[in-house]
Amino acid sequence: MGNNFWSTWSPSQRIFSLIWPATILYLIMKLLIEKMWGKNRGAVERFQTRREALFDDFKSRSAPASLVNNPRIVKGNETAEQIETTFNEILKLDLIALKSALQTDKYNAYTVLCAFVWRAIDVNSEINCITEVIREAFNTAEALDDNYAQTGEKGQLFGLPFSVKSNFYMENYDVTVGLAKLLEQPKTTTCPMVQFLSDQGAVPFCLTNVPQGLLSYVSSNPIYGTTKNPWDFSRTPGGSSGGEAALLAAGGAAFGIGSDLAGSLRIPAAFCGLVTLKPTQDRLCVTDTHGGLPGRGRLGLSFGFYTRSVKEQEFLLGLIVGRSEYLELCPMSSPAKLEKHIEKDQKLVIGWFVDDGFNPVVPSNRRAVEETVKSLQAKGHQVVELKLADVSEEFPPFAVADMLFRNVMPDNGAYMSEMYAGEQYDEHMKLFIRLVCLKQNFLVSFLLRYGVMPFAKLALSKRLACIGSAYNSDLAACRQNQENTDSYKLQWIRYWKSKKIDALICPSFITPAQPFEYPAQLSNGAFITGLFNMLDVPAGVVPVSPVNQKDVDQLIDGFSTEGDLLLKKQREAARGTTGLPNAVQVVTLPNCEEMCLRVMRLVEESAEGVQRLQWRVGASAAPIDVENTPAGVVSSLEHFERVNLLH
Amino acid sequence: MGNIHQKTAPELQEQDDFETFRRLISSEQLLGDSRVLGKCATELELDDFLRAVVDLDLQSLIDKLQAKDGLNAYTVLCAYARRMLDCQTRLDCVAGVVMEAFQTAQDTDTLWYNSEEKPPLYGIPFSIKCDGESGLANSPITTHLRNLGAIPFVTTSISKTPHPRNPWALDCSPGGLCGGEAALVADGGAPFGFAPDLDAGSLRIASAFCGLVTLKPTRDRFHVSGSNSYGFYTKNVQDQVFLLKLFIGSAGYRGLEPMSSPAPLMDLKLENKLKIGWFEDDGFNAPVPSNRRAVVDTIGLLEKQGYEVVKFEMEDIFPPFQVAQMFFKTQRPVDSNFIPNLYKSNSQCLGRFGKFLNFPKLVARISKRAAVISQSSNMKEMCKNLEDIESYKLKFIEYWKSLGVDVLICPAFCIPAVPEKYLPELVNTRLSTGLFNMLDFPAGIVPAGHVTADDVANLEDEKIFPIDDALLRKQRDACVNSEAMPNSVQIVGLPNEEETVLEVMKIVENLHGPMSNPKGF
Repeated sequence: MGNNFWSTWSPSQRIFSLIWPATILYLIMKLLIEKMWGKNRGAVERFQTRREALFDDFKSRSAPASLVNNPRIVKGNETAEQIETTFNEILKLDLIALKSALQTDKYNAYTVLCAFVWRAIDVNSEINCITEVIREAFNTAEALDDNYAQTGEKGQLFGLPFSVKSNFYMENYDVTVGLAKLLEQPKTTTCPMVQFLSDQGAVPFCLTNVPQGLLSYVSSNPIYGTTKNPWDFSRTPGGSSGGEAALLAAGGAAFGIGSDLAGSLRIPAAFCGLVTLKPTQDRLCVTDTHGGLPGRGRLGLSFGFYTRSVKEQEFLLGLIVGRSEYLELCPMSSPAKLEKHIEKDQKLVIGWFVDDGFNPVVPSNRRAVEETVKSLQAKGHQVVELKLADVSEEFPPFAVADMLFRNVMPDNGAYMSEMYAGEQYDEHMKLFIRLVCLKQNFLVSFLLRYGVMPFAKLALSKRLACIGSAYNSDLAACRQNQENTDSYKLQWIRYWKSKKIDALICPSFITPAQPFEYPAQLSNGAFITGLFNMLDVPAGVVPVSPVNQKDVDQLIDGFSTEGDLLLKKQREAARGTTGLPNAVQVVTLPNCEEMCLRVMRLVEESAEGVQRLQWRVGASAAPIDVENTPAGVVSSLEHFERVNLLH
Repeated sequence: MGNIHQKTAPELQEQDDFETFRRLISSEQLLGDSRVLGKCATELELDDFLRAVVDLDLQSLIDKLQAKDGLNAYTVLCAYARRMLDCQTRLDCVAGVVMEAFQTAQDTDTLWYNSEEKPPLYGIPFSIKCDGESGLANSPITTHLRNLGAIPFVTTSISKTPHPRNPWALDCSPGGLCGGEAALVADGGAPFGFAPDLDAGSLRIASAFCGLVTLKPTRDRFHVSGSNSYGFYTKNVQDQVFLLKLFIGSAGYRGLEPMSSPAPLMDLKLENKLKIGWFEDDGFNAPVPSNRRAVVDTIGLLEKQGYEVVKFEMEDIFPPFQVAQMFFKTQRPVDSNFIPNLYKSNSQCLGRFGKFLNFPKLVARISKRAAVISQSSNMKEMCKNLEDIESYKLKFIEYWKSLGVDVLICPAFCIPAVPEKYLPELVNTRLSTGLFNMLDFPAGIVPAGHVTADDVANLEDEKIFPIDDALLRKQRDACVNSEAMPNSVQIVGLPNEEETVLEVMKIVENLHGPMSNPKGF
């Protein structure tokens, strides 16, 4: 009778009977999600309204047409065209030139701020890098000009507009890191780094976008949306300081600031063609920020600047590192000032590697290192190839990677998963977030470690297996991992000294800028940057020769995937990257930021073909080869032209 | 026959080494040895001469070694080796001897004795910290001392089982994990010592128990891999400054230990009189009357000297029991066995309570402090705890700056030196030093007189020392025989302000006058 029951249904009836419960289930799940986000939805909507209103206000206040006859605008304010010309002149200056112009009264703080706000608003409407503007900015600029008129005194950074990564605290502003539950909880303190820069006369004018929970290197979240890379709108600028890097690369700020826990400063610098340096953790200690990975293990959390050149980087770091005014704000920071080096002609011993032993890099990033090393060798420096497998017999590269991933989440993500509870997941990160949350279930965790991961290692990806298997079973295991980390650090230093090298050059990342969906799948990329947080050594990024067509062509023959799923994804992510920024990473021993900067300058001088973006002014002149150019690059070229850097 | 203790092979070897050392410095041996200076003709003259060498303070000893035709390394080594053996007999503070020491001293003399420019620690004997499992450590700190011309001649143990005695009272402990080193220095068996300040402040506890000067620097100001902080034991602040200057920011040391900060120890240029913050009670565990009085007396003396003093209210920063909770949670990964050990003690009192460890509410009724110490934890809570600590540190600094103080003076510890058996039971006392490990603030110890008869009498006065907890009762019991033991204060600064801390340590040292030596020589 049972069999007869089903067989009496017509095919259309059978289909309907399947569709119906699926529909019900979908509606239930949708309702649950809506309900979970519901209590935060109001806050999100209020924020969005306020955000748009402030953007409109800033847009109108910086529009040349509305500034006609404003006495605060220098170098002619009679016509909108005149003002626009002044703004464009300001925006073409590099940081040092702009600083000089401000110090010599060529421009004032208010005019420069208006110029950058004007540009930043336009940039933001294309790439969505700003989370909100800082309401006080125009008043700050006015006060600076008025104070100068009265006292004749200017701080070192007088009038320079800068952006603030939105996980840095500013009094009266939320720090949500893309989590709705943190909205409408304004901070009562200001990060000492921001305070110091403001005290020096710089003008903070906007907050920039970050990944939801700072967990990934795609700067995307449900509250503020997804930030695009100004070089290719279909790709991410990286993260977690991605909004900051994108804005600066697009010319919307004089300089940027950010934090680096596993590459958060360096990945965006590499993707956007900027210079940055992650110092030793205590060389520049910063507090009053959202750290992202709560209770992280042996990982140095460092802070630094984004600039367009190494010279600018030296200037800004020299201003803050070890300065007594900064130590007043943050006593934990090292009192050692940044030394100015004297001997220019000494030949150095440069170590290098292109293979970290855990995850190979694509041809473009490999070539970046090889060409740089060859160029330095041609200038008389001695070069030594390092093999990371030789650093420690006890800890081969895959064991070091395991160490790193266990330091990133010593509690296996338990505290992290709470952070995401009740939140709408960002579309580009939800895969990763769901995996972290799933791991909290004991049975799932057990099945993952003893069932899925051994299988994954054999059939899918040994790198994926390494990440998925990284696990601290209890406090003793967590402690053991910390001791292993300390032991590896010592072995690293001994290996370094045995090779007698002054600095190390290695890939900045595993790929150039990636499309948005890949970061959540390619956590393996964090090893080449996170390694130097675990070692707590200075690590800088310098742009070098851009990705060329040959690099992309070689993805087929010159990049073996070893049958590894993640390496295949990596290859896919690197397709279509011709013309994008390429960079190398420069590393030194702890507390040797001076040597790092020196080698960074040598690398910069030896690099060829490096470009920067410049916002198009007026009608577009150059025709774009739409058929042979990726859509994201076409979008970029509609707004930015690529200009060769002059040294 | 079965009752006779069977010595292990390593212990037999150590005894042989000690005997060899003893033979090498016997009077017959030294009287005929041209490497020993002093031109002594008789055993009595030799004894007097060598005793005069070890009675020199560190700075005088260095001066004589550095002087042309002054002392040489070999003579100084013999003098200290003799004193060390006497100390060992009384205190059992040394784990072993370094057999190569005499050869090292001879080589050092050959290299430097006639040189115009000698390394700064030429000929100074020192002890090596060693962990029993890994043998002699060739740590960067030892290597740097040797590079400076110092001679390693004995080892003291961190994890080994001997129970060193306190030179001020042989039935008392010289302090926990670093006690052997401190006892040796306090008794004059080494010119200085060094030791790690493990997470609960063991460097400073031993310093306070033995009447020595020490400073735990900010972690990376004087970085030692694998350890949170290291510091020196000296008899006075001047020696402390001298040694720290040889390490902090030193290019030689940084070559061995790159994590160490490049910032050298600067001479402080004071424009204004320093403003002193102080507290006598951290709000979690009250110190006994002697240790409280040390702070109050010191503050009184400073006030008479014209310093502005400000009371530091720990309750205003954050609830003290919650701070203690944060601190003791950080202790779990490092010493996950200490709670079981706590309840394995011989104590009749706590031994009974140990059975009820699984009933936290019952533990809380007996001792609210034991409840804080014995709280359970998991990894998620550990991660949350680290974040809470960072938040507390910011609150602490903000409060500090709101008072406008330059340094903070507080109890060195909750108790003076006590009999060995009490220490494992009084884990509650560790917050007084461990707090500044948790915050990573530089914290120094300066002797401040001795425990008096009145202090001991006040233990019984519950108006002065209220007993509201089984652990406080035990704390009182531990101190009933502490009269004449060294007393100290703790001096704390903001991170990276070691210079200010040392300056105030010097001031406090001058106010209290020099610490006397333990009786015995």
